[in-house]
Amino acid sequence: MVRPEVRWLQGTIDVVGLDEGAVLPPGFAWDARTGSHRAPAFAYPALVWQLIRGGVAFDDRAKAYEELPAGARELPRLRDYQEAALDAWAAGRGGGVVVLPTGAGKTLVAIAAISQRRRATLVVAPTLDLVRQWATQLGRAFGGEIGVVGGGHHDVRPITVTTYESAHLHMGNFGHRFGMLVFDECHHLPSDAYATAARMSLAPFRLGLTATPERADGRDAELSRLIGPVVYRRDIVELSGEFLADYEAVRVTVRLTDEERALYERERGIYRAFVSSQGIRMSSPSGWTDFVIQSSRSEEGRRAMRAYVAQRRVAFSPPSKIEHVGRLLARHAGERAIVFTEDNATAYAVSRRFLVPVITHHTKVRERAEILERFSAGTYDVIATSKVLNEGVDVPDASVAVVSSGSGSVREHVQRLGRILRKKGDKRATLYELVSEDTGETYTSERRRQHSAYR
Amino acid sequence: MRRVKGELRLVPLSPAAREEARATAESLLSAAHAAIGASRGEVEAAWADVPTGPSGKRLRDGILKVVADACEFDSPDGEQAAALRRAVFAGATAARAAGALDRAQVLGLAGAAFGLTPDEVEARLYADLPDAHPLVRVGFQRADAVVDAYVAGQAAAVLLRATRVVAEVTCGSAGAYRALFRALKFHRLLFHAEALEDGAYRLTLDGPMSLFQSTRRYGLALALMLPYVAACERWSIVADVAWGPTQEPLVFRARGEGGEGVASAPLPDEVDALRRAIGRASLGWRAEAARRLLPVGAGGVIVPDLCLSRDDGARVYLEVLGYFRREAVFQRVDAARGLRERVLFAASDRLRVSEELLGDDVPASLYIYKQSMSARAVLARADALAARGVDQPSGEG
Repeated sequence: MVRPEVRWLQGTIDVVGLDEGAVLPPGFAWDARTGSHRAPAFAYPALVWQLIRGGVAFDDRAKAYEELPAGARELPRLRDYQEAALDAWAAGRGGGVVVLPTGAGKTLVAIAAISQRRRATLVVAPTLDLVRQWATQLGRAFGGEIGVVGGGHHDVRPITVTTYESAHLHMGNFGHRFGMLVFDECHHLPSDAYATAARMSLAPFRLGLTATPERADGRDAELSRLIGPVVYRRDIVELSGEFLADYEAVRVTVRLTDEERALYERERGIYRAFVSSQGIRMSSPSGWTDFVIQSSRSEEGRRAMRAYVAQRRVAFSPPSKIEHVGRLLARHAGERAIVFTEDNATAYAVSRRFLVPVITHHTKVRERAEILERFSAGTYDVIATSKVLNEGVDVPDASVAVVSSGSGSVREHVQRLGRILRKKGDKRATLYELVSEDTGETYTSERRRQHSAYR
Repeated sequence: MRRVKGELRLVPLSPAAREEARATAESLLSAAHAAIGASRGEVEAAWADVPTGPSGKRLRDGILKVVADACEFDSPDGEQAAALRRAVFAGATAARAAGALDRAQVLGLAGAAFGLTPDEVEARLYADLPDAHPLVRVGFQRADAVVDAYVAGQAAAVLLRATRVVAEVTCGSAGAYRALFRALKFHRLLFHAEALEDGAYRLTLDGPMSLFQSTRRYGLALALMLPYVAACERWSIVADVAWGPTQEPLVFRARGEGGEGVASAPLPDEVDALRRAIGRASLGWRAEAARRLLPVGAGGVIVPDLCLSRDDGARVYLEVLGYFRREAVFQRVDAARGLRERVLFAASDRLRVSEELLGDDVPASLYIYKQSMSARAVLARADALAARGVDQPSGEG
C-alpha cells in the first residue's frame, strides 16, 4: 500500500495516496484537478488525529513549524485571573477565547500561553501600532528577533507578528510555518476575508484575545469555529480598583451656538423631509441601506444625503464642542489626555487648534511610535486621534480621555475607556463624553453607553 | 450593470449616456488641468462641483475614478513637516504646563528655528498629508479616452468578484497561446486546459481554495488575466461572480474578437531565477523564455517555460510542473512519445514521482528536484537529452 502523504498547498491540505473513496474528517473533498483529497488547512489537526488514531502511517510534509528552543525567559508573575485564564485555555485543548478588559494584561496571558506550548507562533493584531507593541513585548519576553509582516516589512521568524490584513494576504504562503495563532482583538476575525485567513492556517493551537467579543452583526458565533469557545471572561467592573485604575465617566452636554443650531435644524429638516417622503424608517434594520439607495436616485435624494452629512457634522463636531475640549484640557493641565473624534478632519482640527499631535491612519508608523514615546515621556501631554488608538495601544500614562465624538458602537466606547484604565500608581481616570444638546448625537450616545462600565 | 435572471450584465452605454459620460469626463479633466499645482484636497473639491447627470452617481463616480487614478500627485518630503510638528507640539505642551497656551507665541517660537513666520508654520504643519499633495500631471488629455478606459475597466471590475472563470479562446499564433498560458502560471491560478475541435481551448481557472468555498480570493488574479484573454483572436468568458455585500451568486458573460495577441508575459520567479543561473553557469548553454507551444497527441499541447540552446545548436525545452500537479506529470509521460522536440520536465519531489517514469526511448526526461531547481542538474540532463535523436523541426519562432 502506498504510504499517504500530507502536503501543504497555498492554505490547503492535500492528502496524496489515498483512494477517492477514503473517509477523511469533515472539510475534506476529492480534488479532481490534482487527484488528491483536499481541505482548508484548518482541518489539519483533525486529519492528523484521525490518521494516528487509525494507525495509518503517513508522511507529513505539510507541517513546517518548529518548536521554540525555550519558553519565555522573562515572565512576570501572573495575577490570579490571568493564571485562571491560562488554565481555562489550556483545558480547552489549546483553542479558545479569553475575554478581559483593556489594561488587564491580555498580552501577558498570550506570552504565557506561547511559553507553555513552545510552538512557532503567529500573532495577528488589527493595527501597525499594535504589531509594533507586540513585537517589542515578545522580543523582551523571548529574546532574539521577532518577525514582522506588514507595514513594509516581510520578515517571517518562529515568532512573528502581523496585521489581519497581511494575514489575509499571506496566510496561503506561511500558514504551515506556525503551530500556534494568537488573534489580538479577535472580534475582528469574523469577516469573510479574515476568517478565510484563519482557515488557511494549520495551527493546532489558537488563542483569541478581546475585551468585547460581541459583534453587532452577530458573527461573534464564528469565533468558536475559528479559534474556540470563550473559555474565560472578566469584566471592567470586576477588576476596577484592584487591577484597573478607578475611573469616572462624565457626560457633558454642549449647547450649540445660535448659528450652529440654525444650520443643524435646516439641514436636518431637509434630510428628515426626504426620509419621510420616501416612507423610510431609519430605525428599521434596513433603514440606512434604504436611505442610501433612495438618495442616489434623484437630485432631491442627493441633496438629502448632503443634508444628512452636514447635520451630523454640526452635531458631532461643532466649533463650540472643540472649544469645550480646550476647557477640559486646561482643567487637566499637567495630566496626559487623549482626545477621540469620529473622523480624521475633526482630529486634525483639534490638533491645529490646540497644537497637539494627532494619530490617524495617515500618520506613518515611525511618527506614531515617536508620538507615543514622547507622550509617555511627557514631552507631549495630549494626543488627538480618530479611531486608530481605539484598540490595544498601550498608553498607561493617560488618565484623561475626551470623547469629542464617536459612533454608536458599544465596543468602540468601551475600548476608548480602556485606553486610560491601565493601573499606574494611584491614578484615577476620567472619561468625558461630549454630546451636543438636542441633536441626534444624544441617541448615538445612549446607544454606545449600553455597557456595565457606564451604569 | 444589471441583474437578469441570475446573470450580471454590463449594460452598454447608450448614445445619450456616452455623451453624458464624455461631458462629465470633459468637466473633470478641465477642473484637473486648471488645478495643476493645487493640493489634492482642492482638486477633489473642484471635482465635487462637477454635477451628476441624468444617469446618476454611479456613472459619474466611475468616470471620476478613471480620471483620478490617472492623476499624478507629488509627495513632498515629510521630514520638514514632521520636524515642525515636533517643535510646535513640544512647545505647546510646555506652554500648557506653564499655565496657558498662547498659540501665536508657540508658533512663532517654533517657526523661528526654521526661519518661518507663524503663518508659514501653520501652512506647512501638515504639508505631507495626502490631501496637501500637489497635482503635477493629469494622465488623460481627451474625454473620449477616459470614457473608453471606463468601458474597458468594467469587465475587469466584475472579475474582481469572480470565484471561477471558464474561458474559451482562439489565438492566431502559438505565441499568443504561450503568453496566455504563461500568464496563468505566473498568477498561480490552477487551470484546466481542454483542446476543442476548432483549435480553440477551453480553460477553467480558479485557485486551491475554490474547492471549498466560493472565494473571491483569486478575483484579482482573474481580473489581471482578462487583458491576456481579450488579446486572443476570439474569446469568451463565463464567470461565477459573488456580487455585492451579500455575495449573491451570479453569472457574468463577456466575449470579444479581433485581439492583436499578447507579445509576452513574465516568467514565474523560480523559472526566471533558473534562467539567470543557467546564464551564469558558463556550461555552453543559454536559456531564454520559450516562444513555442509543442503539440502532442490529439489536441494536447505542452507549454514550455524555457528554451535551452547549446553552443553547437542543440535545443532542449524545459517545462516546470512545480509541485501541485501530479496528474500533469503522468499526462506528460503519456504524451512524451509523440514529441518532436526534446523536452525536460521539472517536477518537485513533493509530487512523489520517479525520474525513471520516462525511459531513454523518448525525447523527454524528468528532473525531480528538492526545494529549488539547480542549473547544473538541469544542464546535465539537457546534455543527456541532446544526445538522443529526434526528428526536430527547425527554428524556435
